[in-house]
Amino acid sequence: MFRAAGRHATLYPRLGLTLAVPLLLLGTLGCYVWARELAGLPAARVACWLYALSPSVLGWGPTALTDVAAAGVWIWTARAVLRFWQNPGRATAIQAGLWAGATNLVTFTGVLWLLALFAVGVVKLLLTAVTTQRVLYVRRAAGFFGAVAVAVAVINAGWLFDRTGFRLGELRARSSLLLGRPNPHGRLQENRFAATAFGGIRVPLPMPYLQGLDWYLHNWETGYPTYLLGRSLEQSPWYFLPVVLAFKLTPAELCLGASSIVAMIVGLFGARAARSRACALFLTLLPCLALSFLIASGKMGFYSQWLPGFPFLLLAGIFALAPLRRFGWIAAALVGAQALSALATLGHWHAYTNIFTAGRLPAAYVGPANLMPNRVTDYLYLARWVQDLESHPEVYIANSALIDLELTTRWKQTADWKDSSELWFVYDVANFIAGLDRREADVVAVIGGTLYVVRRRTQLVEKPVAAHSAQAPRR
Amino acid sequence: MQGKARPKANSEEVQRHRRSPDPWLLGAVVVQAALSLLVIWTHLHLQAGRLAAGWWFLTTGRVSVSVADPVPVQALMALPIWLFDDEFEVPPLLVVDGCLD
Repeated sequence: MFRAAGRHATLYPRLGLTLAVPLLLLGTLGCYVWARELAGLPAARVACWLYALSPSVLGWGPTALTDVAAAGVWIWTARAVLRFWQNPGRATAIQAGLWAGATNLVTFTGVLWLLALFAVGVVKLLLTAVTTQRVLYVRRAAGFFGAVAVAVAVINAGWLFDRTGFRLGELRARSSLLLGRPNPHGRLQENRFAATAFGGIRVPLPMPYLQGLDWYLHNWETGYPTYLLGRSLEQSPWYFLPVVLAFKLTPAELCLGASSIVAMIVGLFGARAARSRACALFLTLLPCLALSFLIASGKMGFYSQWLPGFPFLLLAGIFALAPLRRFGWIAAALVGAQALSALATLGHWHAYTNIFTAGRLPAAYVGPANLMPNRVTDYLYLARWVQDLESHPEVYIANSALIDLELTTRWKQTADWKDSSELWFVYDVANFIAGLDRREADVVAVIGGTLYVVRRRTQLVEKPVAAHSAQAPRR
Repeated sequence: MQGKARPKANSEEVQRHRRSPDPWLLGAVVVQAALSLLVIWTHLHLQAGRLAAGWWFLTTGRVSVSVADPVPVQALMALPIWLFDDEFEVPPLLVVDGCLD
């Protein structure tokens, strides 16, 4: 999204990422406010500290990815929409619309989460249909469409009304859904409505927003290669998320998850839901949300995509534990354990694997499944591995997506490379699977489960191996 | 023995208490912000920390950060370059293609 060079090479990214921190803090505030409403002040204090000290949040928050920012906005969105379902009115509808629009400005996945909220509204409507008067139906419908209108306005404003009102037929698409036919290579083509009467319909949304949704959908349809449980896979399997959560959640977070599951099984949630409508709506949201995250994850397999669901795991667990007589001690233990987890992993939060799995499994398993973003950690392993070698040829990174396009010029500028020289290239698993013949590749090492060091005799000028490269570090 | 009288529901004391933020929340926010800034401003710098390993490679030349979701909120991150560097060509904020990372 942004590039920096020369003396600004590190300054600009740091400044830019600093501006993302307020969005990170939104999540902490959201956990506090909602936990206070659901389970009281002590629960709120525990929730905000657990969130603030979570290695996942701390690791992903100050990155260029928007997942933790999305978590911060999303928790407020969910709260606002549930408040609207609970008490449909002008003020609650506007608030719900504003937050729903904001969610769509932070991530494309937000659409699916909003469907989960919509499902909660439908459930509530069905459960109360017998007693509700017709006038209330009208009020709810008016509020709902008002909220949608506000959300659409926010989305348009966020995208600066870029080609708002374009004709549906003008949209060039990638996804099978919009094309009406398979498109494995993701080429932009005329969409299925272009030649029909629907093609003339004007869409009240900015075109890049729809392009982004289409782009996301295409990725969802085709999936990403991943590395899970010691195996390279062409696509993420359905159990990607549960497996990764088992590896990546801290002991305190695992306890909260287990508590909420136990509470669900023994019926505690049901008993507590009966006490207030707000609690009932929150608990209705949980399964809808879990389903939407499983669907959103699909074949893509990004751990960070799950992060917007993280506050809900905290809230559900605390909601289950708060009424216990010894909640004070339990809370102290949870926060203490979370603080220890954060301190123990200070500086490599991305790599965090909980104490139950770290070191007890083969190395290939410990760094599972966080294919793309966790490369930062894998590069750490790579750097150490290279440094520990007594001698090695030049090592170059060949990850096409990470390196600036302008670096391609280095292929030509580096005069001392010889066509016959042996070089090592580092591919991430996605590029490795996509770009090389694995049967013939001379793999020197697999680092962290996701980086492949491949020995190649280069023909740099005639046939570049990869689109981009960067020189490896020297001692 | 008579206990301490509770303040009235809308008394000035109660109002003041309601206005003042919870120190536990403030503490959590400050700690989280500090740890996040620590990552950004210290560990993100070349060889300064373990987290920086990936950046170490990248910053041998130029830095490029591409994003998973090319959404408007990313404009926040491009803001410093946009504001301070005239020479720098900032790609359109709403680029969709080519940000698959």
